[in-house]
Amino acid sequence: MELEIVRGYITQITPTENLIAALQQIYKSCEDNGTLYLGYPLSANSECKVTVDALLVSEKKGVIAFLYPKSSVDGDVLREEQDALYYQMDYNFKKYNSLRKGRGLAFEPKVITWLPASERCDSDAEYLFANECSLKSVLDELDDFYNDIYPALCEALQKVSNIKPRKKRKNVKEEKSKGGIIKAIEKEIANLDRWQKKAALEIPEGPQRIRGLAGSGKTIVLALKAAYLHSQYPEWKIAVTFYTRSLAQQYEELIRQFMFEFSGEEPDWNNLHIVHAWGTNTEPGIYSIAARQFNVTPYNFSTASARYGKNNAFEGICHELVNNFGYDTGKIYDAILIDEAQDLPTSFFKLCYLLIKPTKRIIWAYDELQNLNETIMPSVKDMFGVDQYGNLNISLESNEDEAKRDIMLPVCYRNPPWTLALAHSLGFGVYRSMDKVQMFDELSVWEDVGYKVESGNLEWGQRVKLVRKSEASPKYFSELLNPKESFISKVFNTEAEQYKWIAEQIYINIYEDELDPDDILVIFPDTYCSKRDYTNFRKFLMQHNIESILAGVSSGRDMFRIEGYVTCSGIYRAKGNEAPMVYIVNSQYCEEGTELIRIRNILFTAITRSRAWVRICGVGENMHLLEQEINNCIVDNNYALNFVLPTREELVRLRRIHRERTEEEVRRISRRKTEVNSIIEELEKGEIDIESVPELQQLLNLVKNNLECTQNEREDQ
Amino acid sequence: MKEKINRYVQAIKDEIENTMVLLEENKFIYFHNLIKININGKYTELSCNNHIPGRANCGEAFTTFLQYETILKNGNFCCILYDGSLIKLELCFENQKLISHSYLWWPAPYKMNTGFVGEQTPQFVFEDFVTDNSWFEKISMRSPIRVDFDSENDTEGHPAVHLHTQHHDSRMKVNKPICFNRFMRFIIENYYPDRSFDFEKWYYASFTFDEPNKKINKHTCLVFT
Repeated sequence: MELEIVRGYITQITPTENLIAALQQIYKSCEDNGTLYLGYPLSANSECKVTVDALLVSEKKGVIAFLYPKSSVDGDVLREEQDALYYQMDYNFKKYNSLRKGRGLAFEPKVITWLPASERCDSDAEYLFANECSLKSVLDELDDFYNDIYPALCEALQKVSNIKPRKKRKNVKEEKSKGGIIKAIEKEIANLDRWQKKAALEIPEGPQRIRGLAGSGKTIVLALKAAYLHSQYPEWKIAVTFYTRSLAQQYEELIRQFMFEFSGEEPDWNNLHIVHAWGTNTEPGIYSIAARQFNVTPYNFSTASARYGKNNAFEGICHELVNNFGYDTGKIYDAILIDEAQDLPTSFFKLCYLLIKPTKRIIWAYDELQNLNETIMPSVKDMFGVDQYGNLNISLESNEDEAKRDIMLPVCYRNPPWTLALAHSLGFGVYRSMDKVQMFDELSVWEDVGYKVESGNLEWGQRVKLVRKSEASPKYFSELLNPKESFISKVFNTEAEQYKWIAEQIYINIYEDELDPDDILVIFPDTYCSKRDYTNFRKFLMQHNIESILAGVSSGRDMFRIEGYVTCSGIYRAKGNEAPMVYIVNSQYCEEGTELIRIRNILFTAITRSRAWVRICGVGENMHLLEQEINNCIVDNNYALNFVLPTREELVRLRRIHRERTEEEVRRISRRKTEVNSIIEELEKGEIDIESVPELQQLLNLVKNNLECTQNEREDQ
Repeated sequence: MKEKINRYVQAIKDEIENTMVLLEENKFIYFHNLIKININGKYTELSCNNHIPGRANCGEAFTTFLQYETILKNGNFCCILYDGSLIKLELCFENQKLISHSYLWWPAPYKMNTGFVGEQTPQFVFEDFVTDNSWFEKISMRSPIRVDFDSENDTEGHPAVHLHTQHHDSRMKVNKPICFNRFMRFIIENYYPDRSFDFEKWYYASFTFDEPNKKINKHTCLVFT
């Protein structure tokens, strides 16, 4: 069976290697699953720190702590050491209700002194000693463990037992109501999966990269890691940073909870900084801390935008700081943990590099797929640069016996698998009647984000059928939800009809389905019309006396959810947030348009805000077209993505056609559309003809040529 | 069960919402909240969203930056104007009698050249302003204006209807309670002279005192014209 190894703080390398080898040998042939934590932090507070040299947790044997002799191998000393550790383990585990039976622990933790290559390994009933030869027999003789408390034991060991669902949901009466289902989803045991365990508790002697889909647990992992590092090295200066301001509060709460588990104490916020990437005059951020370090006044957004343009503001100011002032300054941090790295410019990472001490312990996590057209993070070389000899400043290579420096979190806990498949299908335009919209640069990314090839070839220009891997989603989605109920699309004749239906559904969600108003998120995809659309929509909600907010406008900038209110939001404000029930309003906006890549990314983001149910609504012909795409994915292909991949040349063309445009380009295209429409209208009415406007013939010829060229281009490919 | 709102009060509320929609159509208002109705026996209150008690809401906070910030961040306004200024209101009725009102115009403390577009919401622009090192180039020092009516409190130093500006204890006497439209007209005509509306076509509810000869402790009744 399997033995996972999680490499934390390793005190003695040789005995550790011997122990791993011996255990791996045993696990090859035994019917047990286990995790070996190296340097496991049992407890750490200002008075006492207890780190177990190696801690084995297994389904069959429970908890076994391995002790390495410190200085003496005298029997009495070793026994005393065992007693001390046993007492600490007993004391720590008893704190958890779930691990107690009556007054005592529901199981007996075992302590084994590991004496590799030693002949003195005589165990008795109470004190256990083992070397490479005797380990198997010592383990075999141990009593079997009560398997039913294994999940609770894992929770306690992973320090995640305190992460409780945010809501109590006391109003839920029916297990099968939507409220009941979401309660069950939220209550699913908060155990870390094997990849999360490695990402959270492995401490490499250098940088680490953590990749994963949205909802794969990156934030939890980083918070746990920060608390772990802080409890083990309280004197270290550690920064946790991110781009979305509202994450600050979430990090503070999580780290406080985790620290309580590690040490029972409040974090020392002087050494553990939770800071925004940018920062303001009043709230420090990595950029503003760095600027002050260099005695430079930090820019704020409006000054930075004026200097470098709105889209490049942060990139510009970080670049300026690094280039002008980034030489030999005082290194501030022992570790920097960066969340949402996909939203941060490369110059920001260079800035972090200037602030980090020589161990270069920069840990960054990013969404593999925040934007469908931007899947690839810049290379490590681009992010952190090279030294004077051309060597990478930061390398992600690690040896087999070291903590991993590059970790992928493959399980998506936020979205049901079918919701993700549908979001990808629409985001890429897989079933669009015309061209696809976009594609990953590297086709291997499909596998990284949880798909497998069911038939065909995953190669450029080839037909392929992709389906979600079952192991890429937790089981509870298929146990608690069904795709038909999860996803509904509706076409309406008028906006008013649409708003009426949605308001009625929301009423049902609240008063019959046992959802809370703030479980419901209504997304308006068209940023420029979202305020107007919301003003119209809320009238229909008010008919049912349902209160709502427009996030970031009628609520504070960082406030996304208010108890008792339905959240309505434009797409950018919705990013980074999630809700059990999501309504996407006026989705026809996402069917067609000048900047199709941007528009389809919006649809992808909107759908993937849903933890359980999503309703795509819209009006008119474009919504009919979108619904056809949806039906192609759901009805005809059962959530598989069955399509011909574009060739590389086609991909270039798709990117050109559907690219994002400047405001000026958008305005020009819009003006031309209006002009052409009026020509068409006047032609239809007979108000003009080719004789009165001979330029029309010229226009006709040009359009014909253009069409032929495009056709030829396609055929060549 | 939904409590029935007095039809006169309903008419006042409808008028306020109509005016806000009209001003929003004309891009004078950036965003408006719906008016809240709170019925408690014979008393009906019309107010803005999310009432937040606390020091930012007390009389002495008038003119303080904190008050503007608190109203904005809590969505405690009835509308935000195109320049980031806030309008807030509160009216209290005893059956159909208006017994108190408070209209507040809180001018944005910054001057903005561009409008609020897309994600550049007033919340965002304000945050940006308060964290800007060159804030002094953008600050706009205008006093808020509040017109209050308190039928229970009519003395020489505290006229029943009065206008606050510059200082929380300044009370300029106003003859009669006014309606929302009258207040908005006053604000626009005096503080937005470059914006014009067809004010003559606006509807103005008019109020007179129950007993015009007595000046103290008199309730006001609502008279439709």
